[in-house]
Amino acid sequence: MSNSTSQGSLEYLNVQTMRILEAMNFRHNHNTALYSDGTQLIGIVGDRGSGKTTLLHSVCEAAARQHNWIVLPVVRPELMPASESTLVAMIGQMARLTVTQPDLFSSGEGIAEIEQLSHNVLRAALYLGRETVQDVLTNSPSLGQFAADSASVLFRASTLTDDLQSLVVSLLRETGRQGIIIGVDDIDLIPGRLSQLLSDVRLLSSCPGILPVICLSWNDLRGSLRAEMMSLYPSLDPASLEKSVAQQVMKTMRPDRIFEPLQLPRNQRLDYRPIESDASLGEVLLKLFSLIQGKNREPLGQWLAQQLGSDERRVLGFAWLPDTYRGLEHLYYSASSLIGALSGDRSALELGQQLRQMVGSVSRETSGFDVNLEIQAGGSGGQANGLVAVAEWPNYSLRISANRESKRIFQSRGTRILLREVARPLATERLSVDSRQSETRGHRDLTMREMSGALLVQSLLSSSIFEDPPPSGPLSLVDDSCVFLQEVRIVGLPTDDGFFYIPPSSGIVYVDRWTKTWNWIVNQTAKSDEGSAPADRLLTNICVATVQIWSQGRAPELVEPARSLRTAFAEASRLYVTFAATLIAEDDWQWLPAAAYCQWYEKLLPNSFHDALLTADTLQAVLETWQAAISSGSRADAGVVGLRDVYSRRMGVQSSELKSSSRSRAWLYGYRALLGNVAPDLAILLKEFEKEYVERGGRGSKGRDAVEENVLILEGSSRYSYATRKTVEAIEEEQLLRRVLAQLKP
Amino acid sequence: MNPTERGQLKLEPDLLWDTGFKSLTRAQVSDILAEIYDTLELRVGHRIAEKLDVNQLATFERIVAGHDEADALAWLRKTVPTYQDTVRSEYSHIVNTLRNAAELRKSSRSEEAIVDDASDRD
Repeated sequence: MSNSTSQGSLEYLNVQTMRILEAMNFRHNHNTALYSDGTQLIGIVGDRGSGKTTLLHSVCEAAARQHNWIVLPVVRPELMPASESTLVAMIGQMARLTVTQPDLFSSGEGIAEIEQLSHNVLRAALYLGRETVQDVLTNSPSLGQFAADSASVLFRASTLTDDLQSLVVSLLRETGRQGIIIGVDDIDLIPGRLSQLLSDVRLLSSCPGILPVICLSWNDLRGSLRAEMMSLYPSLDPASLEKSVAQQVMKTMRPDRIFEPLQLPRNQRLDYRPIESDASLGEVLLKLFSLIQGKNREPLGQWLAQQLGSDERRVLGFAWLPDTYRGLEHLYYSASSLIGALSGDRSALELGQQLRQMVGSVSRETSGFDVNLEIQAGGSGGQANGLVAVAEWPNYSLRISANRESKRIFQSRGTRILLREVARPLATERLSVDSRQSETRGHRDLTMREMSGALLVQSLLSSSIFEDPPPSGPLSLVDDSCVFLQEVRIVGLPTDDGFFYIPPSSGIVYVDRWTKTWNWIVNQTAKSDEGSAPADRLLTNICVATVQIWSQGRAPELVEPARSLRTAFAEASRLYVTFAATLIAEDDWQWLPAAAYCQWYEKLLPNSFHDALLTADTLQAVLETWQAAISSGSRADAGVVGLRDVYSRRMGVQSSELKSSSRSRAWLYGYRALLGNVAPDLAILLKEFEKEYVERGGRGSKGRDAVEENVLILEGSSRYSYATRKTVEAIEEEQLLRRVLAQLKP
Repeated sequence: MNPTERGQLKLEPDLLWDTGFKSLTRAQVSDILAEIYDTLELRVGHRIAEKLDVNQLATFERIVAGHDEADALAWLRKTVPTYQDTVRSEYSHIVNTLRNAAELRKSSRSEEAIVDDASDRD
């Protein structure tokens, strides 16, 4: 029996035990069979480790103690030799009751009769157990012999039933009990014997006074029945096979007599503690995460402390917790062992082994995915017992889903900014590659549990346990992930990529923070009062949220918007200089948050330094501060070189390509101030777009102010039924609309 | 399309639905609405420019270059007091033209179907 329980789980165990007893006693008190055909059976179903055995034993103990039942020892078929009949074992226990539980028989009367009946029943069961009709069919040399032998088998079966009934009546009379409970645990563990087991249980349950209580897992039961039937009837088609399996299950178990062990609700699982343990699972994990988070690494300990201290239990934060008591128990002891290894004088390899078990505890429970972790002792970097590891992951990738409606942040003078909130992260697995054809076979969306578990494992692997670089994982949110969250038109032109970004993020802590940061920015900016320079306000909020929510982990509801962009930008720049001083060239953003922040500051933040987005004064001040920060420290060259690469790609490298680009790229001209400072050769190429840009920027379009005052573009619709993809009809409609509008333009 | 309480006209997806363009994706709707907005801007600007003399045009250019929307609007109200009517009439013109185009397309497709059906029976 498992020793794993907690205050909450004990309560659930007692509740479910009483419910089952009520169902059992209902039959007895109302003299009704649990089945309309007179059979009775109680089923306890659940996944492996969910507490079925614990519940079964709890019911048996309560029944024997409180409810006046005879309870036989629980039968475990998987521990019995293949040659031994389960039916014989169960009947044998009944037959030996006068010896094994003599206290049940207060008076000695009737014992002799019981013993005689026991002898008859046991002999009939032994005889019956030797042969079935199927066996007779297989072994009979002729039809006549089969007829005779099978009749004999069936006669013995009916004899057994009668003798068994007589024995049960006598037992109940002599003991004064209301029935006999026979517990059968893990009935589904042995393919090849399952059908016989179910048949034995049904035979017993057809005898009034006997109540079998069986434990099984639905999925394993179906799987075992399927395997059995496939071997017996190899020509059966899949549909018929499934139907037969379903019928077998339905024949055995009536839905209203099925009970599941109650699992701890998700928000109580961190309170779980094994019996005689002082610390809860949450406390153990907090201690472990605090030990391994290390300097400048992902703050797992801080993150968990925040989750524990908050009433809101976000799904991403806790979906990785095991569902079953056994899973919680394994996680508890894995974490405890790892703490012991970290705290004591253990070798590096032993530490690695403990970590591997911890990773396994999480990955197996969430999805069964396996991270192939190769660990060996290091020794470089001055660490004598350092660990070096390489991780091989399933083919996962991460993206995000967004709310459908956009929020209009800014619309003026041909410049429009629409932003969408993030709904949640999503992960996908690219299925196995066909080695012959070198093609993937499709994709599978991970469940929230699987994704959450994988993110946590990724965080564990990027902890301070490993030498640099630690093994990295596949689940990251980068700038490409959020391009579709924004739609920006500059001087009336559609733009081809994004302008507002937050740092790239991986691991459970920073992916969680990423979504909170972005949504705070969108909501804060959208609800701000309309006034001058709303794009300045947006950039201000980006700086505030990145520093306080993304980098420092503050709760969004505690973050106040800054009073000015200069203040917010100065703070963001100070943090950049601090982080840049701690980094070396080989540091990667995937496992060092400081490197992710620096990458954002150097390459992603400047995308918003556009003169159609920021006012002239703001743009100048921002560029001066940014350039000063970039020039500080050892990352000066890396920062500028990286940015040049970004804008080379954005603009197209060849000037001839730029000339032949459509005029829709004229918006690039708004970057002349930025590029003039970091890449003057690129800034020269922008001259091609000056006329178009200036014309559109405000000096030419006399209708702009009049139309802006009187016309509003709205994204939401109460009636439009959008197509989910571009059909031929949609393309034709769009072409017609564009032709008409082109003709209407003066 | 009725103006809002503040007198603003709305460019929204329902406009395209009502004019007969019902097969578009969300992205297409968004792009087309922006295109309609641009077209309206250019047409209104052209109509306003027709009513201004050279000096008035130069004055307006200076005000717009100063990036002061409030000044620009105040000048427009004073110099071209009917500019809001211009916006409304151009808006209606664009919407009606689009509606007519949709109806013509629909009717020409019906005629093609009739012709095809008739030729099948020949």
